[in-house]
Amino acid sequence: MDTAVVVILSALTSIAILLLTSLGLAVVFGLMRIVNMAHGEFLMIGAFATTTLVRSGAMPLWMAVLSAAAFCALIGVVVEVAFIRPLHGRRLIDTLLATFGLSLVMYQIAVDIFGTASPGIDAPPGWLQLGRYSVSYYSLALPFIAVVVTLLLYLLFKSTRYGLLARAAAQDAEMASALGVEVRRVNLYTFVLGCALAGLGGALLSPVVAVSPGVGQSYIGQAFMTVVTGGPAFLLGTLSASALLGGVANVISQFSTNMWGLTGLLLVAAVLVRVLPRGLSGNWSRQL
Amino acid sequence: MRMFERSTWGANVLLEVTDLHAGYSAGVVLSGLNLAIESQCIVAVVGRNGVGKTTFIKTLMGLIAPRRGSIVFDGRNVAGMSPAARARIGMAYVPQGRRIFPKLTALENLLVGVKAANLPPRAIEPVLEQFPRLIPKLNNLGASLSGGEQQLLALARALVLQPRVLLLDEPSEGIQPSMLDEIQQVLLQAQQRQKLSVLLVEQNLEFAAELANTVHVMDSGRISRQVEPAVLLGSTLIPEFLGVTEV
Repeated sequence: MDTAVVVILSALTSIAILLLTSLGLAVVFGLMRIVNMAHGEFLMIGAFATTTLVRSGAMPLWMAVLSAAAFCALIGVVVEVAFIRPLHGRRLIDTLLATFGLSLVMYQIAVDIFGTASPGIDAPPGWLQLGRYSVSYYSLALPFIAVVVTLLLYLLFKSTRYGLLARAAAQDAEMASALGVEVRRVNLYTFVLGCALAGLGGALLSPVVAVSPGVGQSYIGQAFMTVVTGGPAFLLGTLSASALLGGVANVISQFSTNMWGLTGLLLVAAVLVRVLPRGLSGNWSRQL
Repeated sequence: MRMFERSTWGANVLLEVTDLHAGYSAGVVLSGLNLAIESQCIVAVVGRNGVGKTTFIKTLMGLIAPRRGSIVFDGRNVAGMSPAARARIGMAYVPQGRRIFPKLTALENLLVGVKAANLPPRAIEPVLEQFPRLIPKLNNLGASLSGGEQQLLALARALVLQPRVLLLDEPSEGIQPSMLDEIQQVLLQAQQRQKLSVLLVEQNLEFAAELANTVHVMDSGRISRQVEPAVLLGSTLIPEFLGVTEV
């Protein structure tokens, strides 16, 4: 009995981590058709910003997490204006190459500052005792945080001015501009939001993983598979894909190893994209 | 039914296009186009397929950059302005094929321009009164509306911005006749109540003739001549305007 509960709780945590590390990528790809190859480095910056702030004693974890997201948003402004905007209207491959180059630079800067291994931070203390097992409160909190973040994003896109203009610009940028929408500004906000979400994901991850300059690269592959499998409805599609892929990967790894879990994730994603080329939400009429 | 006599239009020009050259990278489509639109006047531009009517209307809205020439709207040269800036000063666009946002509801389609202009959502109410057919469909997705409903929505979406000139590209295309009357009524009402000018690009000569105060014929990227609207209904000239004789 307690084994089953622990397996489920652990799967929920994996799903939450997959969702939190994918949302930023999903927003930027879903609304701007840009594959941000530097997404993993934004995760990494969010994680390092959090560990640095917490270890210096400057602020508690929750405040450091929010500051890390804000810091990534600021970097996102610079990146959008300098690298993304000039490539507007160019092929997908151009932005892919530009952001890939950027990710290499960001990685190297992190190595120069932090070295290849660095001390981490502890998760907030507290354990839930379940028979023979104990589960940390922090890993139980992650699914709740993931759901709240997704819900807030849904509200942002459904009921704010920015949300409406961003959805319109994503569907027909030319028509939106003819109706008075400043598409360039809307795209800046969207890219910055994606970077902030990546920073938030990395920050929330920082107490439970080994933070290193390469930490983003170990998550970006799964994040890509999740976004592609999710399909065009970039919020609910990504949520569904996270649940499916994260659940499969976690259950497999609990009964074998992490490597088999990741293999299972990639296999399920590959089969799904084969069967549903437009992703899980390919035939849904919704955009979010 | 015509609400105004043609001869009563004053000489105050709202939109003046001079020596306009524009085109896609492949080649020039507009070459030295001149046209003036007076305020509160409906002007139709007719011509064969491929003479550059859509390019003309997109250049007016700023979706294609002109290579040469000026577009003066309300005393300002707008030729270098972005489409969004043109929308803000009173130019509105209803494109060919309507281009309704398919995954936004009808209401959201109407609110895009309203929110972009920071107007309150109730700004759509006076326009909705003119489109009673849209009211029960407001929560339907754009993609689920019929062609005629989409055309009405595209018109309403432009009119909520209280424009001074409406650029209309082939509004009659693929629309059933009963809906065409409705569209005509709405445009004539807006002309009177909102002091709206309309530039109408049309293949449907009957529709254009019933609506327009003046008609211009477009040929090889420029306006070749002006004709009386009634002339469009004379069958002998139709081949010239539509090119049905060309194989």
